[in-house]
Amino acid sequence: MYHRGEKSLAVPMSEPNGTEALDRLMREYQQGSLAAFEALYRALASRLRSFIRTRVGHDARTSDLLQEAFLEIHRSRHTYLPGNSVVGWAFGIAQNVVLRHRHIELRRARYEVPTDTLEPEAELRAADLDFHPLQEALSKLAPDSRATWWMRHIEGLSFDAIARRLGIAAAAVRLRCSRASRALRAALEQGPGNE
Amino acid sequence: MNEGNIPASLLNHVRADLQPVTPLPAPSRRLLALVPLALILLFGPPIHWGWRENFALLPSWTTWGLSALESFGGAALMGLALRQAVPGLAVRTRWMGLAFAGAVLLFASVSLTTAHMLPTPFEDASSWSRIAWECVFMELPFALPSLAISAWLVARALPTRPALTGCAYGLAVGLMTDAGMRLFCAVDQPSHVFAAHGGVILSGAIGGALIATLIERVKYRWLQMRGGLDARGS
Repeated sequence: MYHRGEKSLAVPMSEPNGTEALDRLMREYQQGSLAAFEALYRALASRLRSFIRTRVGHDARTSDLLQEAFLEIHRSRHTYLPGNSVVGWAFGIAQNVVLRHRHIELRRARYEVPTDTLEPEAELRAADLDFHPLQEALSKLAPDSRATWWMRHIEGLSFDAIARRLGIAAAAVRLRCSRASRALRAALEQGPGNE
Repeated sequence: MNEGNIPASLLNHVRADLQPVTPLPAPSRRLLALVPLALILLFGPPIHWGWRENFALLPSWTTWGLSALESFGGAALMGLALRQAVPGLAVRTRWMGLAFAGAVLLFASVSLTTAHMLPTPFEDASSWSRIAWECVFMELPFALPSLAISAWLVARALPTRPALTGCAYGLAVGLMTDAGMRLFCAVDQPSHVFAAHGGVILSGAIGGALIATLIERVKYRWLQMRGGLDARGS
């Protein structure tokens, strides 16, 4: 019996680590049982956490990736073939999530320069620049777009961090930033006073 | 951290989208569904474009036998790709590498054996490139739909290494298409077979890798757009 009691399942409350018990839970989860998902989470989370941690290091991202792995497990629950190892299947999905994370990190590292690696001279030169046109262009942006662009390009937050802060999807943040950058570029190319 | 506590956002996400799902059929059963495709690729080109003029001069084991062998090799590779696409069933990369090497070896052996049995040099060397392009364009109407069907079957699962999986089904489609094309194309000169027919197989492998990678990226972007990753970190 599960703590929610949403569906009556003949599965013990203790962690179902046996292959058959996990397989049975997975079948019930595929049939739409939330209680089965909860039981699977309890059975798999610690193993998946260790699996992810060993691949991404002792990183705060482990928790994020664990959640992402469970989201992917949920989306891909139809890919579990009854009778096969649930743990192997879940690890396969976690591996997929980790590889995707690495790919995104590599791509990000290729294009982003951490601010602490900038040379002081570069910062000094930046201080001499005239930011009035930029401020003027920024003031013309919609408040949401301006805030998103600011957090991304001035505060240097990641898309995911901004998404969490604003309570929207990371993809929406990317879109807003991209549109705001385009609008700013257009405004700066037009020059001050040209509407 | 207490792993028993499911983050509320994750739980809400799951609760909101908990309709029953039908598990994918096993890779072997999905491969069986591809048998008609393999048969179309084997019989389609010669029936549609005509049988090779020197068909009767070759022993049947070099025509039907080797084509069936090549088609079977392609189907086996397709089965491997379908298996590779299911989480937890993926085989090691080195085994995939061996399978790729085996596919290339199979194509080379079949082509060289046929060339050895009945050498057919070009009568007119200037027509080499024209005939090569003809073969390429005659293979495409069969190869492209097959590639699309394979891509769809793989995309329904979740390949961990999409490029590798795509390369496998592209190579498989290429082999199965060549199995039919060699019953149509009467030119067995290795330079033609390796450049034109082999070129289609290679393009299939590269195209498959690109298509599978692209599909997985689009799937991921689409899920992000749907807000599927909002649960992270909350």
